[in-house]
Amino acid sequence: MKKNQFPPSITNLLLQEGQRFEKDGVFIEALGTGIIPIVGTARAGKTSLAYTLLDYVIRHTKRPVILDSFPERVILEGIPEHWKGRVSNTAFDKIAAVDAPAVWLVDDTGASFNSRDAMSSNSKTLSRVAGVLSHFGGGMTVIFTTQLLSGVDVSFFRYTNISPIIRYVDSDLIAHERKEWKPSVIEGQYQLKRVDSGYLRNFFYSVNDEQLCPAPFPEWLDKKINPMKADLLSRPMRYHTTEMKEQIIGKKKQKRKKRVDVIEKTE
Amino acid sequence: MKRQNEREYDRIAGSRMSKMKGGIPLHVALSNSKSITLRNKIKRMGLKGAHIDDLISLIDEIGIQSTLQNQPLGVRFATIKREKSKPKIWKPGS
Repeated sequence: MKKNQFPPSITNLLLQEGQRFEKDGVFIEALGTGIIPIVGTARAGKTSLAYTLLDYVIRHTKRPVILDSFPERVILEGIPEHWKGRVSNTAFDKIAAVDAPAVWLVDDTGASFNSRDAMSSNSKTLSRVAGVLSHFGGGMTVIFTTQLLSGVDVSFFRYTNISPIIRYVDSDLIAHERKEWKPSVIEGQYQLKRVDSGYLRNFFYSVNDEQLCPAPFPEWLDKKINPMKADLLSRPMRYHTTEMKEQIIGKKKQKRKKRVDVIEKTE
Repeated sequence: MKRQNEREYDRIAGSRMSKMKGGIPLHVALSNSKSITLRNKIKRMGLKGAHIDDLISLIDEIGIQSTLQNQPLGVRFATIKREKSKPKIWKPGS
């Protein structure tokens, strides 16, 4: 994977603050902090692309990677060999305890930081964290995946640098997108359809760069090579305990004591 | 917000000009009823010649401009014939 694998606005947030990269023929220093939302309908390849971005971080930086509340089994059995030692699964509400310029993956944000749960502790943490993301650990980056930005608490993209990525979004769902983002999603679909067909998985559209980018698909995500590993990474939420799944969908209230147990177990 | 949305939609309309294979050809259908009346009047009078063609072209242009003047920028640009744009694709390693 090359250092300029991704367009400048994405590279700018993936590299660590101060790392240099080329933009329009000139070397500039990366900002290294901000939010990369990946928008796409279910099975559009959001999580796979997020892993590819994390793979880039692991190969080109020394930043730690944190998979928010991922099942322990995914960390132990799913991640590729070269990721081991670089990845942990701390919960996002423990962000203040992390003192390193980490890159977070918050998968399926609609479940954890839903706009309908504006006053829940997760969403309140988020609204406060978004404003000071550049301070914590020397500047952190959050990659999050969601099916529509309208399902995510608005604090996520209110305060900091963002570089949205658009994947395939079902045309029936676009009508429900936030009005601020609808034109970008429509434009993304139009651009993707110019070069791809079906679920448009071969490319993604970078809103800030206003261009398409080939979506790399590493072999460790290929279910033809290792179906179990591929499924662990592709649908991590499947491998949570039933209790945890119920907490995610809000059926069961989170018990503080239980949560501490989970975190201790996974660290 | 309305102006911001208009600008966004203008940009989208602009980028879609390629769909029209380089803009919509100027046509009397884009004009207005007054210029079409004048056009037909000249035709009925049996006037012919290069200078009359120029006059008809001017009448069409005035009609088209009056139709487009209240349209968003993207729509106005879409009437310009130009080369089909290629998708902008990031090339890793470039």
